Amino acid sequence: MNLSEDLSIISLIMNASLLVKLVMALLIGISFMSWYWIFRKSFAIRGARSRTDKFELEFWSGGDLNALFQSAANDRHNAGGMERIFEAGYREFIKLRGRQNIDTATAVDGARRAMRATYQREVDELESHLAFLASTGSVSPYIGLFGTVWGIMNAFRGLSNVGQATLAQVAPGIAEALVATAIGLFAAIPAVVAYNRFAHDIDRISIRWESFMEEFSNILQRQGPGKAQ
Amino acid sequence: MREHALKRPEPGKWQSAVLAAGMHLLLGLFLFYSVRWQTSKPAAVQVELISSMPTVEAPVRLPPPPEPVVEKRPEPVVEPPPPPPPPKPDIAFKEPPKPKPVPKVEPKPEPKPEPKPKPEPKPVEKKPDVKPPPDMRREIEAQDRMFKEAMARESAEQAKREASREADLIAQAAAEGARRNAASAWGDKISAKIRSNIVLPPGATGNPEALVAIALLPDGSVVGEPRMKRSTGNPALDDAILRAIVKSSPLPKPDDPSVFVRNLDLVFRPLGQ
Repeated sequence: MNLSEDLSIISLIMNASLLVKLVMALLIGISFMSWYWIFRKSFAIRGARSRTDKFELEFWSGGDLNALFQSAANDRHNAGGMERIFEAGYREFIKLRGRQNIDTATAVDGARRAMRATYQREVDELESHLAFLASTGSVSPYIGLFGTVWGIMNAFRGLSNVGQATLAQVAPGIAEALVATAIGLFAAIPAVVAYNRFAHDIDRISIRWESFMEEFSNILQRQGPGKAQ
Repeated sequence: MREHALKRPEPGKWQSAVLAAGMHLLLGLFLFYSVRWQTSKPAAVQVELISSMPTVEAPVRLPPPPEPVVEKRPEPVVEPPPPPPPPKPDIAFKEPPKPKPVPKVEPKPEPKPEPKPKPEPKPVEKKPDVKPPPDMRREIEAQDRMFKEAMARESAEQAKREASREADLIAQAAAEGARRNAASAWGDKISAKIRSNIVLPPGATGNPEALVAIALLPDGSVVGEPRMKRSTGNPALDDAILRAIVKSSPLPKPDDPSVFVRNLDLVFRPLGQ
């Protein structure tokens, strides 16, 4: 009495074979995680950019370096990447300058190394989990394709018992199987877009940090001999 | 230094989780509402077309002469005919009205057998009761009449009669409460009507099955073109089925109007048994 197929998405998923269902569940899990990281990374990157803007403004508005250093050191948890780089460099510079037998060039070198270390740590922090997005983007279509191939194999196997093969007999099975690919693509596309976008944003931020490091080194170099003795 | 690298706050952890969940919910809703391809079909009534035409059976059985009338008129009118061919048709309808029609058609003999069927409405049990000699005579009489009438009528009508008799049998069950049976009785009626109109093309073999979607008006007439949703694989056979459906319009109405649905899926096995 019910030979009419109900092709709503729910029934398509429910009618799929166990393996295809597992594939779909896996893909939904991956998709969820990738969206989770997309949101977290976008918050983190937006935060890093706005803090960098804010600190750059403060720094170049000609404030006292010591005051800036104090506020950065006191507010560590809220500091942005650039602020931390500045703090690390300046702290090292002050420490080295206090020693008797160290000249300015050496002190600036030391400050630079400290800044580089902090810079790398900060960039690494920003870039963390981007690899997950990248592999989601590249792998989940294949996982979905695997589910689809499996489902289509089953659809055709069921056909072997039927004398006359019509499109209508295979169509539901194939539609079922294709849902797996659809879910894979739904997971992959945002992940790829987000990965590219984030990678680009992080590149730009790290370039800003790097150029800040160079500029700040110059400032230290200039100011060094005057205050050192 | 390493301290604050580790201690740094993690912005929007929960926010992200909630947003991701919301994202998927949205996506799921979108899929659910946009990707329902064929969900709107109310019911599928299965109709089977059988290659042997049922005309042969009609004369042999004892369906009452007035039966053809029955099809077109509402149920109460149908009652008078059933009395002659024992209890079956009677039972198909409600019990209270029975007494009335019986006296009219066949005054004396009927009342006695009738009371028995009432207590036990099931067809199986009644048959033994009906068989006794008095019934046989009536049956023979009815048969004679039937033959005359049958000769007069067209064979298509006979087929209809037959179908309605079967439908009545099933409607019996429906009277007991199952609405489904009413639906299948209707399906049988439709089947009989289309069956009588199909002209099978030569050379068709096997037991192919076709699924045809039709839309009905409340009066039973077919709206638009019937749509072949699943072909038999034989174009000539498909055409024959579609033609038979168009020719059969208007299709019979269900006895129980609540069973009526606008969109029907009919399953045909024109060559099957």
